[in-house]
Amino acid sequence: MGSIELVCPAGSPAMLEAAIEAGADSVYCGLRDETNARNFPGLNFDAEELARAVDFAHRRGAKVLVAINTFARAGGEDRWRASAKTAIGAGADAIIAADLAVLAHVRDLSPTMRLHLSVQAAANTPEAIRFYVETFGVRRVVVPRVMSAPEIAELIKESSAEVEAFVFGGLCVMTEGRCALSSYVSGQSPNLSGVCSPPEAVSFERTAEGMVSRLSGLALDKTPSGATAGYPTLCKGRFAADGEAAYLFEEPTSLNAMGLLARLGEAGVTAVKIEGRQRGKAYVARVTHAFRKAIDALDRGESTAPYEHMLTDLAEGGRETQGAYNKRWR
Amino acid sequence: MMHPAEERLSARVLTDLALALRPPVELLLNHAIKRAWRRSANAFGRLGPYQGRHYLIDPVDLPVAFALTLTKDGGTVKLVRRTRRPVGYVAEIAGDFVDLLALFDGSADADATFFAGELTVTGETGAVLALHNALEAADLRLADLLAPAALAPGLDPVLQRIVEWRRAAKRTGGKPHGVH
Repeated sequence: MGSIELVCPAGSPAMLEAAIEAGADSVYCGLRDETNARNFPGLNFDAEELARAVDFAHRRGAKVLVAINTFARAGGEDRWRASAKTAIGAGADAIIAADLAVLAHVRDLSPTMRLHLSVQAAANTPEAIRFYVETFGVRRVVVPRVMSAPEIAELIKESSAEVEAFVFGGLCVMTEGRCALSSYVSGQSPNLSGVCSPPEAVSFERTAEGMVSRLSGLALDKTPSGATAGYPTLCKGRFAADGEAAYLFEEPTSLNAMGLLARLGEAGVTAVKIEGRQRGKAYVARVTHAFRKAIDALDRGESTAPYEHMLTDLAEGGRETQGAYNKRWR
Repeated sequence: MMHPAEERLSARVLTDLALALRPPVELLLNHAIKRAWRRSANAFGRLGPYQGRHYLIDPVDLPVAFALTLTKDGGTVKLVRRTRRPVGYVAEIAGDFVDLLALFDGSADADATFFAGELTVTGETGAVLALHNALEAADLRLADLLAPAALAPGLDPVLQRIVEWRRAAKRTGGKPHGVH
């Protein structure tokens, strides 16, 4: 492992193997239900696959972090308890959680299990982090993607936990864990159901002018044939205001903060995270490979520049951004 | 430039020719599915409620399309006419043949192909995601799809290179990198 831990997504056993073979220090994954924030059809691990994946990772010196990071539903808490038991039984190296009830349950069930605070908890102050550390023994905090690099540096100075920051992949513009756009239109959200824009509510219609994407029947965007597109989420919809159609919340674009790795490392970030459990093995192999090269280059005292534009074609809408890390709008 | 009537005739002739090859092509593809199922039956289970549903895979640059049905016990592929295809598909996935091949063997990223406007999906989006995730888990190789079992291991790197070359050629306007 280099000076910064590289944490990569695994939506399936094939993706987990591809990530580790490409140089991931850790992989994160979820079980096949609503207890994790990527609850898509055909994705994720069953108990047996998870145990095999942990074994595969450990034999190669990598760690497996299991996301149980949605918020437990009243009356349905047993499902979250079962996921915690499965992850612990499989030999996971850490559980990533956001819900107070899930954190408390894991702490009581297995006091030695490492707890990482999910980005879904949106902890962005030293006081909030201290609460999670003192109450549940949280060892690492995944910081929200709405924080700037200087804000993260300030936070680390006063943080009693390790800090993990997203550096590549999809972006949420809302305070994470508190976005209601998807549930407003479809009745399901990442926070509660593990899906933003649930696929059963998404449709694409081919027209003479191009492709129209819809969520629960509401048009989100109209893309001319062959033009770049984004995910069919409400935050990436194009809306008419003052007679002009524009992306009002967020343009379809992906985070790529490879150019900020040195700054994040100097600030004391312990681990960097790649988003995209829903993507696939081609994606994770390429992104992991590029970030492995970049971290290794930094550790040799070299620039990350040669690797910074290797991944543009994987970006949503074909465009990359450093997002809130270079925030200039507040 | 071809007259529209000539174009229609030419398309019909090509389709008829492709359909004349239906028995060996279907045999090859159905064997490929059987092999993939034997190797990773669990992967097909990832289709969940979409097992047994029909997908239309439409390589827009070929004269015919493919009707794919996967079940927990295997599946079938049939060549179909694009103009006279039956209804009742749960989803339709359309794109250039080489892009679809690269998606099937997992060497291309599906989301990136979609973002780039090189892939269109209609029908039930959940069915498309389930198929994508099942194929990822099945860990298919190109040769599993395009070659008899005995030749697959040796042919795979060659086929990979051809598909990569064709995809690169598409992106550079028909001229692959390094070819002048």
